[in-house]
Amino acid sequence: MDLNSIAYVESVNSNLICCICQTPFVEPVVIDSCGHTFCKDCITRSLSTRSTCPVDRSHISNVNELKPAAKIIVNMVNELLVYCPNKNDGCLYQGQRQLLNFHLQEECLFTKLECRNEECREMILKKDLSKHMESCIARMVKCESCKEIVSLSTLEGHKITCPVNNIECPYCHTTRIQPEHTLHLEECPDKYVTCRHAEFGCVWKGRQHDLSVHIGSCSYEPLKEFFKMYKQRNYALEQENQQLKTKFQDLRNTVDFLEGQVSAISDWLSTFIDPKGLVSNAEGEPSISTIHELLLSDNDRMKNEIENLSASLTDLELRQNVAIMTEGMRMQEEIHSIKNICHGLRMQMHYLLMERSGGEPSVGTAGPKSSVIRPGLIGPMGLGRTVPPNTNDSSSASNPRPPRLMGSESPRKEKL
Amino acid sequence: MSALFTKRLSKELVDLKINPPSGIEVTEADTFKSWKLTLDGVDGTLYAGERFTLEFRFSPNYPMESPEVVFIGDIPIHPHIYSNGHICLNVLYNQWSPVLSVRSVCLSIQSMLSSCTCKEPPPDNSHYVKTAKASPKQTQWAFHDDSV
Repeated sequence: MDLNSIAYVESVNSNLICCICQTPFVEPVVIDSCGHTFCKDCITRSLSTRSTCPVDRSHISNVNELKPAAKIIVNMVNELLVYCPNKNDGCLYQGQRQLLNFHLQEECLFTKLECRNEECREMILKKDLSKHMESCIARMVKCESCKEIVSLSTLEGHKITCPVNNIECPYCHTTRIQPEHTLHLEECPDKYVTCRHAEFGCVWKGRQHDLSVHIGSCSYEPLKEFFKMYKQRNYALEQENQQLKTKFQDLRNTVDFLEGQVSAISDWLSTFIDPKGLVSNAEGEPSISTIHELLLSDNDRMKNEIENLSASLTDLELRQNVAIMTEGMRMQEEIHSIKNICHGLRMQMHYLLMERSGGEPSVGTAGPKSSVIRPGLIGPMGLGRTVPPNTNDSSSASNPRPPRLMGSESPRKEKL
Repeated sequence: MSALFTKRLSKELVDLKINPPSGIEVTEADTFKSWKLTLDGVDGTLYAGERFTLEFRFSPNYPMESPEVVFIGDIPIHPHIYSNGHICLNVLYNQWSPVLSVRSVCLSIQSMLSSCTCKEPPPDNSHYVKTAKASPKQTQWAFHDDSV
């Protein structure tokens, strides 16, 4: 560290400035005889050209006359505040001059260090060095193909020469890198090829660079245009054929489907026709009309049968009704006669009771007793309704009736 | 060595520009090889109103070695200044000291001009001009006049 070129924070007392270099003393020494102080370097250099004190020209016999300056002078210059020499790069440090070396070695991030990559050796600020090492163009990287460690700048060149990437051409036995290899395989003059007209029958085979010579003499060459046309037409026909094939396949599918449907229908129909009929109509379609006719006649037959059945049903119903009615009337007559009998019995009983009590008036009521019986005998010929007028004839008889019989007859009266 | 040389010269240049001595001005200091300065004659002396140009040529040993200092252009007529511009002044030769500077040399020359009482060339001027080398430092000077 050259302390002569550092910048001081404050202006320095002129007594601390060396007259030779005109900067604050660095390692101040004093000339013993005259007492003038200089930097050790400055006065040593001056004395090498002239053995006098630069200030007062007093003679200096030997270098031993130089003595270290007083401790106070040394301390004063050592404690002068200075800026970091890397101030222009951005370091804001200022401190005592004697601490500057420590700052530069340990603390200052703006010290320039050499990039450790051999091919780079660029001077980089300490703070940027790690970042630089990551992106340094000379940093060491691994070739992905051969795993060799090479510097980044030579990587491109290495890729071309990298043994892993080089592939030998099987025809001309030259080597090149992968991307060029595929291209070369097509173009290699030593590649074995067949004649361009091989598909039309030329049997020539040889190296690619001989092809042009062969083409000149190839008998198929003049027919080139014809072949071309022929090939085109062939292609068109193939296309058309293909289309037809597809169409045919479609139609076939449709037919299969229809056939399936027909067989399903005929299976279903066969359940309605006896196997013999189906056998007799085994020709197919004609059987359908026969089946139809059969179905129609069957239908008619059924209709007739149903009509007959309904007619006999009505007949039966009528008869049933008549039978029920006759039965009902008979029952009614019977009930009537029973009723009359009951009435007669009651009258007799009434008479007997009256007789027992000894009353004459009850004789007159005997007449009505017989008259009541009579209409009861005639009654079955007419309707039941003829009964109430008969009962009305015997005004005396109606009264003695038990109230419960009257109750059963009262609805009829209301209807009249 | 060269660090001291450039460091010292740049310091001197800054000092001359910020705080120039009266009548002295730096006109050309593009390199650390040679500078040109103008020197005005001090009022009230024989050279009042005149302006001269000084050329300083520095060696890399400066300030241990003296610079070559000569007048160029109009040369002042002075008993110690030859018409080729060489100056007979001891501090420029054997009496040089590293503590001296451009400023102090200029002031010495200015004072030498100012103390002149009679504008006349050196007595051996024509002989010296014929025989002198380009650099005044190669001349064997004999300093005899202590009055200036």
